[in-house]
This record gives sequence, structure tokens and C-alpha cells, in this order.
Amino acid sequence: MSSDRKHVQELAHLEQELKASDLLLDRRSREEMNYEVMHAMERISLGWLLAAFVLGGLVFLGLGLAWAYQIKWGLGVAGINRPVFWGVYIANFVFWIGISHAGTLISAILRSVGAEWRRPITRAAEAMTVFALIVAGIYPLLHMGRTWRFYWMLPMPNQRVIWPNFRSPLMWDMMAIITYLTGSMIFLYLPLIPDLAMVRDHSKTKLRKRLFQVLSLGWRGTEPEWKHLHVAMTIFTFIIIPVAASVHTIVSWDFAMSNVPGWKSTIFGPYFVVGAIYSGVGALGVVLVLVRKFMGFQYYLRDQHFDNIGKIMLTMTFFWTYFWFNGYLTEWYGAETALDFLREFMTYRGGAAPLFYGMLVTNILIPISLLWSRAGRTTPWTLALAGISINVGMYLERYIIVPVTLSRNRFPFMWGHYVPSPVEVLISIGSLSLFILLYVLLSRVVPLISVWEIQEGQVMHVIRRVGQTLVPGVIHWHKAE
Amino acid sequence: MSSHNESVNEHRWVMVVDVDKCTGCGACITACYAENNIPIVGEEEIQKGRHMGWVRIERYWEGEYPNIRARFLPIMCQQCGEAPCEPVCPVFATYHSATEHINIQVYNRCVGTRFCANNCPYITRVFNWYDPVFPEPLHEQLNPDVTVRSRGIMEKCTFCIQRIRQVEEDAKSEGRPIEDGEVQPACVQACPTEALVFGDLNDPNSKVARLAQSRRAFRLLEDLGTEPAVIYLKGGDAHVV
Amino acid sequence: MGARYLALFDDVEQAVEALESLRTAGIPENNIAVISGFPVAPAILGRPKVANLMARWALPGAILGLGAGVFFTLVTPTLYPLIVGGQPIVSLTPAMVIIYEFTMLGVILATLVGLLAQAELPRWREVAYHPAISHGAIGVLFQCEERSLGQVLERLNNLGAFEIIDVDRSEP
Repeated sequence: MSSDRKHVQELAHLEQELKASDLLLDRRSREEMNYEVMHAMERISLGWLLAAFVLGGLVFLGLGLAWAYQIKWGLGVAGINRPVFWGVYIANFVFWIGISHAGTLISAILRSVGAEWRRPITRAAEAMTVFALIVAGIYPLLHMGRTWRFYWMLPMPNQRVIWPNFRSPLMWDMMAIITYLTGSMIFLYLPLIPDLAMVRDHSKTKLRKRLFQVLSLGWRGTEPEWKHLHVAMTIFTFIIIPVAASVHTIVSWDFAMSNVPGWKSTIFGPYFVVGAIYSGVGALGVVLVLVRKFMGFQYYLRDQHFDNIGKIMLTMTFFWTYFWFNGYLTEWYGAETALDFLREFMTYRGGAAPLFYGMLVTNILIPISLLWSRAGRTTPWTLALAGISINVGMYLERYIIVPVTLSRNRFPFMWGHYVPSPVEVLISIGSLSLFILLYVLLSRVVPLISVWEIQEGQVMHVIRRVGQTLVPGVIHWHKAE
Repeated sequence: MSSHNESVNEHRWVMVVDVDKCTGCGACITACYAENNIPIVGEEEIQKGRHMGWVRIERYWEGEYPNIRARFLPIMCQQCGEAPCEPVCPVFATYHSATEHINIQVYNRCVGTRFCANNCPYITRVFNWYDPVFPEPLHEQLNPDVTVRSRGIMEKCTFCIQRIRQVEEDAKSEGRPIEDGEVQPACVQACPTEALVFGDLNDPNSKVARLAQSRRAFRLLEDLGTEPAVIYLKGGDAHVV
Repeated sequence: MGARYLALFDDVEQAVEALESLRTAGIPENNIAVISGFPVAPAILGRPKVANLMARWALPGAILGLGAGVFFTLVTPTLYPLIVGGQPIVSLTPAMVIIYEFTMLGVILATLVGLLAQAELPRWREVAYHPAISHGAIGVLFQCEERSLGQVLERLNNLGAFEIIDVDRSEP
């Protein structure tokens, strides 16, 4: 008798553990989740206002004043020169395009393989992609000598009878970013529609209700609406993955299509894509830690999510190292003289050595040491630290690829030196602040957790008694025929 | 050679640079500045690496004291037949001229992405980092045949295309062929040792055609396949201490 | 022609039984709609499948995109021929990049348009709805003749409907 009761107690304890470990086993009513998420959305605290104000000020300073100064006086106010014609602006551009690969990876790839743990993360990740692309898209305009003539790159018939050059990798950049931005904005919007309808339904003011009625397109949740939303999301899932891969490949071709020693590398395409996914997941880890803390999403984002993100980060560490070493070894072996001088500059006691070794430490050593254990991955601050280290390392990598490589070429008489100028630093800070500001603003406009997808997942997951123990199981509702 | 047609009636302009004759005097640079309205940027900007000269003279020291030699290598836009700077411009601000067979830079089309500058393996392209300043009375010296470029625009040696066109027009209106040596870019005109020679490679009797056959002839970075229109001569033992 | 009613249930099992009772009452399938806050497979509800017609939007979008890409990269250079880098005026290899991006953009935009067309969105003035649905309730919308109305409503109430609304008389 007492052993039966003990067994019942053990099973009850096991059930608690299972529920604590997996969000989708820990069912809550939809109404409760709706209110929790909406409350997080509606809460405008003093801290939030302060953050928005400071970020807005930095954006104005960097992307307003500093940029206006540069437009008025010319690119001489930046640190670029001959032969280092591209500097921090292009490094930043590549960096932000890299970060934009977070949303695609998590949302699209995990959706396509049916990884259920993605559910509370998708919206935060997709928002990252859209905002990173917006920030990245500013840089081609920023680095142009005559920014005000940017529209000459658009194929519009004109009376001057001239046309853009579609053979230029910069035109490929333009088309790729337009396609990816359009695709990821729609990809963010589609699963957001039912949640916008939810906010509409429970708005307290009439103005808000009408606003969200418009934004949600009058969504109700009828069978044709759900069916076609599902099909559209499936199409997008399978389209956005190759588009994302193509975007960073095309950005890498800005370098690979040249004959600059150190740029003309056939491995740049996949190397950049892997690097982008790497920095994207790193940034996503940081964003998730911050979102969980500041929005109070402890119920939604749990150890399991950080553990999985950490595992992806660790995998990407090895992928990146593999591709990097591939490129490095081939250059080392080939002994092209200009490359020898570039390597001399970057290693041992060369001037750029701190950047090079710093990149290796922050991209390889630190992430591996923080992420190899489950404890490291599931502790928020170590995961965030790994994510920051990865992004620092990836930024160093882009800095080495752009201004450091350009400073060593085939004519030693024309070797150069690059130091970022105050204008460039201000603009960089302004663009980072823009990314954070957009995120901070979005968190008060739409729910950052996709609640209907969580309910969809929770309905599918059950805890079943199998023999002497309890086992979590999945009932594939969506496969019902 | 390149993928465009070359008819015998067209001119194929090339420059020959005799490295053995170059004294490094810099007259070519000065003449280029004067002819093409190149702005003076000042010592501070030059130290930052923003020298605006379309032609540069690289100086290389060889040997140990007391047997030191100086070599001078004037480098300007090589007017490549397969120019790597051309395909990467998003707005077609640089393209290959079908008639003069040189690389054209269209100042008022350039939007300043500077991709062409990165792609030039000879590092001959120059960017306007600021608006040019011509303190009075230097503005009276500006050449009316050449645009004054504003900030944000790429520029480079054009083989003084304004002079080429002028001679072509004069010859056409007078109904006569162009004589060898009649077209002289500013640098060629100013060179005191005749280290720089300019002419039409299609004319078998021209000086450049003869020099191009010399056993001393080579081109810079030939293995890159850019097919430059500048031929260098080097091999003699003449040097300047 | 009958009035429209929306019956609300707390869970899927109740809704399944409610649908069954509507069918027994002789209401045809296309006079019934199910509105929910999360997707429920039609087979679970015993409802007919919704046809997937998105391909008829996505494919033409891809073709239009492909055409635009081909036009910009292979046709327009012949209209504005300029020699660059000693490369031929028309060549497929570099054109593939732009053609690919335009094709993908075509699919993306066409899928969005297709979703709106097939799901008949936006529907800003539709009243057949209740906010409880976005809190997880299942709504069963049906059109019923006057004479059988009383019986149907009674049966739905017995099956657990926590609210039944006369749609056309309710406020938007």
C-alpha cells in the first residue's frame, strides 16, 4: 500500500519535472498566455522610456547629425583613403547582413524540420532579421560618395538614356537585399496576423481596436484562412532559406569578384554564409536572454531553448573554424607574394596581429569553453557572453577582411593604413542604437511571443503513462487526414 | 586581344614608359595636375594616403651604400583591355571606349561606391574625398577642356582624352591623317628625357609601335590578364644615384 | 435563407459533437463554418478539406519574376550596349544571380497576393466573430432555417455552448 502511494508520489514529481523542462508539456490556458503577453506589451515603464529616449538620441546623433556632416563635407571625414577605399562602413554592412541570418535559421529551418522547441523564439528571431536588414541597408547609401544619386542604381527608363549595370556585384547586393527584406518582412507578418487579431479582440480603447483590426486584416480564424496561412508559411519557409543563403553569398561576391589579394577566394560564398549564421545565432542568444529578462518571459523561454540555441552556436563554431582554416591554409600554401605580406601584417608582431589573434580567441576559444557543457549553455549570462564573444569575433573577422586586407596590395609603395574616424564611430553607434531602438519599440507594439503557435504546440504534446513511468509524447494533429 | 573589333582605320592609343630614362623629376605629375584640374590636398591629407595625382612615380632603392641605385617607376591608369574596374561599377560610370580603346571615366555619372578603385590592381584610381579647393589666383589656371570634379567622384588618368579628341577633330576637319607624335598627353609633353612616348599602335610606322617590339618591353602584372595599354621598357643599366 | 448563428465552445471535443448534431439537423456542410484561435485539422472536425490552390499564384509569380530577371540582365544590355572588362555584352553566367533573385521575389510577392485572394482577406467589416475565439474558444458558425432553429439551439446548449450569438443582429 505505501509503495503504491510512494509510486504515485514519484510519478507526480516526475510529471512536475517534465512540465518544468518543456514549455509544450506545461499547458496553460490560452487566455492566461494572451493576457501575460499583452501585459508585457502594454507596460510602458520609466526604464523603457529612458532606454527609448537614450537610444533615440544616439540614433539622431549618429545617423542624423554625423551623416549629415559627412554628406556636406564629403567622405574625407571618414578614415578611408587610398588604397583602403572601404572601411568600417562596409565591415558594418557585412556584419549586419550576417546578423540578419538569425531569423531565417531559427524560424525557417526549424519549421521545415518540425523542431517544436522553436515556437516561443520565432517572432523574436524574425524581428531580428527585419531590423538587421534595415540597418544593413543603410550602409550602401552611407558609404557612397554621392549618396543623393542613389536612384541611378534603379532601373528606371530616363531621358538620359542610361541604365544601371546588372553585372556589378553591387547591383546583385541591391536585388538580394530587396528580395530578402521583402521576404522576411512578410515572413514576420504572416504568423503575426492571428496574434494581431488577438490584441484587437482584447483592446481596451476603440482606437486601438480599429488599428489592430486594420493590421490584422480582419482575421477571424476560419478554415480557409488557417489553411492558406499554413500553405503560405510553408512556401515562405522553403523559399526564404535559399534566399538567405544567396544574400550573404552575394555580399561575399563583393569581395570574391575582385582581384584583391586575400579577397579573390572561391570559398568566400559558403564561408560568409556560415559566418552569417554563426553571428546570427550568437546575436539571437543575446537577444533571447535580454527579452526573457526584460519582458518577464520566464515561462516561455526555458533551459531547453537556451540549451538548443547553445548547441547550434557550438556547432557553428566548428563550421566557421573549418571554413576559415580552409581559406587560410590555401593562402598560406600558395605563397602569392602579396598574400605573404598580408599574412606578415596579421600575424606574430605585425600591426594587425591583435585583431587576428583576437578573432581566433573570441570566435573559437571562448565559445567552445562556454558552450561545451549543458550548464554553460543553460545559464543565461554565459550563453549571452558566448553570443557577445562570437559577435565581437565576427566583427573582427569582417574588419580584417575589409580595411586590413586592403592596406596590403601588390605595390608596396601604395600600402596604406586605416584608422576609423570619429564620424565613422558615431555612425556605427547610431546604427547599433537603431537596431536596439526598433526592437524596443516593437516590443510595445506587437506581442513578442507567438501565442497561437504555442497553443498549437501544447495541444499536440501529452504526458502518457507507459508501463511504470510517464513519457512525453506528440500527437501530430496537423497530420490528421 | 579583347572581345571588341579593331579596324585598321581606328587608333589604338598606347603609352610607352622607358624606366631606364626616367629621372624621377616629377614634371609629368605637375603637368598632369595643371592639365586635368587636379586639386592640391595638402601635406596632412597626403600623409593620410589621399594624394590626388593621376600619375605617381614609385621610387625603389636598390643595393647598399656606396652602391645605391634608385629606380623610378611612373604608374598611371594602364587603360586595360580587360579592365577589372569596369564590370563592377553599378552605374556604368566606367566603361571601355569602342573607338579609342581606352578606359573611360564619366565623372557626372559616378556615385562614388569606390568598387572600381578596389578592383584596380595597379591602384591608379583616385577619389575626391572633399570638394576641390583652388585658392585664388589658381582658379584662373583651370583647363576649360576638363571638368572640375566635386566630392564623391572617382577619377583617373584618361590619356588626356581631351587632347586626343582635339587632334582627331582637327585632323578630320583638315582632311588629313593624324601624324605620329601629334597627340601628346600633358605628361608626355612635359617629360624632359622623353621617357614617356605616346602614339598609335595600329600605325606600323609610329615610334610606339617600334618601341613595343623592343626586347626590353614588358607590362605590369601581365599574368593578371588585364591587357594594359601601357608598355614599360626596362633592361638597360642606366640608373640615377 | 436563414439567420446566421455563432455557437461558442470551450474545447474541440464539444465542437466535434456540435458539428455532428448540426449535420443530423440537416444543415448542409457549406452552411457551416468553424472559426478557431489556433488551427484545427478539418479531418478532426469531420469537415471537408480546404483545397490548396496556392500553386496557381506562386507559379505564375515565379515565371513573372524569371521574365523580369531575364529582361533586365539579357535584354536591356542589348539596348544600352557598353563594353565592360572585355566581357561579352550578353552573358548568362553573371545574369544567373539577378535572374534567381527576381524569380524568388516573384514567388514571394505572388504568395502574399495569393494568400489574400484565397483567404479572402482583408475582411474588415465581417461581424461573424467573437473575441473569445482568440482566447481559445472554438466557434461554430451556421445558417439555420427558422423552423428548426429552436431544436438546434437547445441541442447546442446541451452540448456545452457557453454562448450563442445571432450574428446579423449583434453589433460589430
